[in-house]
Amino acid sequence: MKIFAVFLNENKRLFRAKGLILILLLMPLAFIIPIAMAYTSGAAGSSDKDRPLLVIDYDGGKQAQDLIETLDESFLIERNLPAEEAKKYELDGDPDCAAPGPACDEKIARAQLKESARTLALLIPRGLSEAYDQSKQTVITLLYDPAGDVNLRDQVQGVIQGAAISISLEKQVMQSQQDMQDLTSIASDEVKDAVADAVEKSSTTDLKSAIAFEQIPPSNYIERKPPNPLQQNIPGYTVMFVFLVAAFMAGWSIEEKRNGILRRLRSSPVSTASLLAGKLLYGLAVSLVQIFVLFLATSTMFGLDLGKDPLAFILVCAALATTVACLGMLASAVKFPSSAITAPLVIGALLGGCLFSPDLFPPLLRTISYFIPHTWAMTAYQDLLVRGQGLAQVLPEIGVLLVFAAVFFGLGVWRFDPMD
Amino acid sequence: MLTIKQILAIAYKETRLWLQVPGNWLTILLVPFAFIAILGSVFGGSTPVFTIYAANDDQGDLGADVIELLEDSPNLELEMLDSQAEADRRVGKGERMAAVVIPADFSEVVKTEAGGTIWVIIDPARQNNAGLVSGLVKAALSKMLVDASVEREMSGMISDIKTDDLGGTSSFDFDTFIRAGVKGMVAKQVNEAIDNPLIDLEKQPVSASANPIEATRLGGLVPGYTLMFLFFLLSHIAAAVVEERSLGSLRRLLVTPASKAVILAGKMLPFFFIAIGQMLFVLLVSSWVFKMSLGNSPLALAVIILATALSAATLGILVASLVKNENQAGGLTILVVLVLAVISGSISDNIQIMGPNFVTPHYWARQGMLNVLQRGMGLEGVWLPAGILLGLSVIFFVVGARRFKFE
Repeated sequence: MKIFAVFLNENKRLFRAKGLILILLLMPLAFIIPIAMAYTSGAAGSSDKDRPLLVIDYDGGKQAQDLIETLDESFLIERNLPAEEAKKYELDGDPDCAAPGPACDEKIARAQLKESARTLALLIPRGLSEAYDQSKQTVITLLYDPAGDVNLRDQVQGVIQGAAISISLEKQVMQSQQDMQDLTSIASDEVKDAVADAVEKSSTTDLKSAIAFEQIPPSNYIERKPPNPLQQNIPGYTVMFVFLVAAFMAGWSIEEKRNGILRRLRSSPVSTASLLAGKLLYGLAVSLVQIFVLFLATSTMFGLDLGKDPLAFILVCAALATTVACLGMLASAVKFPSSAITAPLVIGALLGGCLFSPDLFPPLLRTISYFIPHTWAMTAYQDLLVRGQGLAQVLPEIGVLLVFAAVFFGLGVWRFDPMD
Repeated sequence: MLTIKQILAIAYKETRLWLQVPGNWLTILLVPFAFIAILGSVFGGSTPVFTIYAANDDQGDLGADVIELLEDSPNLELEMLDSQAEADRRVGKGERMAAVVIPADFSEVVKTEAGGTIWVIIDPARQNNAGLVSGLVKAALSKMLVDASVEREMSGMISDIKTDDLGGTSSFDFDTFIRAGVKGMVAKQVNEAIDNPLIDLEKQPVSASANPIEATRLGGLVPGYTLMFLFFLLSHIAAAVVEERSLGSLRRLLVTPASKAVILAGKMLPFFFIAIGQMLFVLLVSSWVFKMSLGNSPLALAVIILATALSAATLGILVASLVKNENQAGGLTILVVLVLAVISGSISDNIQIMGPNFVTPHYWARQGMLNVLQRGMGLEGVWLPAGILLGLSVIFFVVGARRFKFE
């Protein structure tokens, strides 16, 4: 009962603070909406296929067309920029832009790249198809904004190189056959004829690579929606933000100590355990509200799928909120300012895979990531929201989160001094 | 002269107070360093190294060759597993984002017309990196791809040759001759395909700078994260002011001959220098340890650093004038700062709100830094961002000073 009295007291303070409750509700929205908008509007690319790649084709031949078709399988190919773009960059008076064409497109693309209005443009030079027929090398050029998206640049580069190899394969085989015929010039006429006959019969058109690559999901994957960047990234940002509530709780507690509220509470017939439990309950409520605001906003406004198992989702949220509340309690028990607690929490988000995949980390950092609660919360949400798993699969993560909560709570109780 | 002395005296006192709190050091120097160290270890190279699983169920030589080539890739780190089933289970649990699996009969089917397939199991939760990983796997195996394709076609061709009428040549001699020939042709074509591909790719940066520099992943990330941490200073300024207000020391300052503007300038000055120190620290560590380029113009870099530091310190004064207690100065300010970082695109280039981002100092500071560090621009790349930052600084300081309450 006393626990609830402390809890109610905390809530009264929260509601008395002008605008604070509004800020606590609006802040997660202000944080998550831009992120969700970026992943649904195509700014961050809802898939590689939505990422635009301008191709400026000076060649116009078969090989250039083959290359463009291969790139079209991976990216959103843009060609022939509208005349308005030339006007926008004051190029309408330029002789190259007197008529639409690749020369004008290149000028516009270069102007756009300089102003960061475009990230990439691919130039296919004149004579590519002719040079290909003569087995001569041609260099195609990828223009890029140096401050643009490096990931996209690397992906485009990889696809272009792969396409170039596949297009060249036919030529490589034909060249091998020619070399073989040349080699038989030292052999007997019967051998020469036999090889020439075999070369004539063999076909190099529509040549398929001997090795293909196929991407497949793991067999336990249950697809509810095709995986998209919104589903993949929202859990990370949500976990990162929710852990920062611990810093808010630390600030809340420092204020309480300074005002002497804690000391006055201590003089009342409330045990330290009840006091701490009441505060923990308050932290739990604030964290839960933040989590639900974040997920409900992205679910209702942007169509985020919350998984097939509502109970598992609620339990993961509860375990995360408990961990955050206990961490907040520990943070308020130590004497560091809340800003000093926030910064390690951002590092934790980085190491926990909220911002970048842990597969990119060196082995030491990957090992450290297992000791960060963010990692486990992230994994649990990804299991539910993206991998289509249920309660049984997330129980280990819930368990680990609760272990973290117990450790934070224990340390918090140990360091807690209401008279401080 | 007296005004300057008063400002310096207040600034000296503020600096001493700030230095007395070890947590401040942690936030300002150690944490950005840790963050940059992690980013540097991940993105310090040209392309990050992905750790993936691999399983080879093939009994032939080709499967072992695939693994060897993947192990030689500078951008892939392989963790070998016993079977496809284990790879499937582990990727399914999210332990790694991808696994390359070579099926049981790979060496044999590659020689057939249908060809062989290498499976790349991708964790759906991290599918956004799938394109990059598949690209790296294909790049690592490009030599084998050409080798296997040319060899298959050549072997198919010679198998059609009838060996019953070869004049004086025995079918054994012919076979030896032709196989040696095929090996030579294949090796030649593979080397040609890799060393002199018929279609080669050249990358060309396009920048307003006449002297563009080699842009890197780290160089693209450091400005945004530097700014995110820099603006955490706001909570330090706000917390210092709130504490002084509650202790009454702000009120006591009013009885000194210093004006309100002088007191605020004195409070702002240490944080201006701390901001400069923090940015220099992060950039120099990134440059010395991770070889990040600092651009072509130290002067332009200095201008954008000074303008950014001023905007952070003055925004701190504005925030200090708005907050009423420790809670608002601490956790709440941090949340606001984080939201500003998201809106401005500091956390990710792809995530920003066009329109509102223009009123955040983060956005202009980041643009200025990117112009110098990534685009290789000089003063022409920073005058606009620095000018806007100075304008914002004036607004922050004037509004902050007008709203500031000493009691």
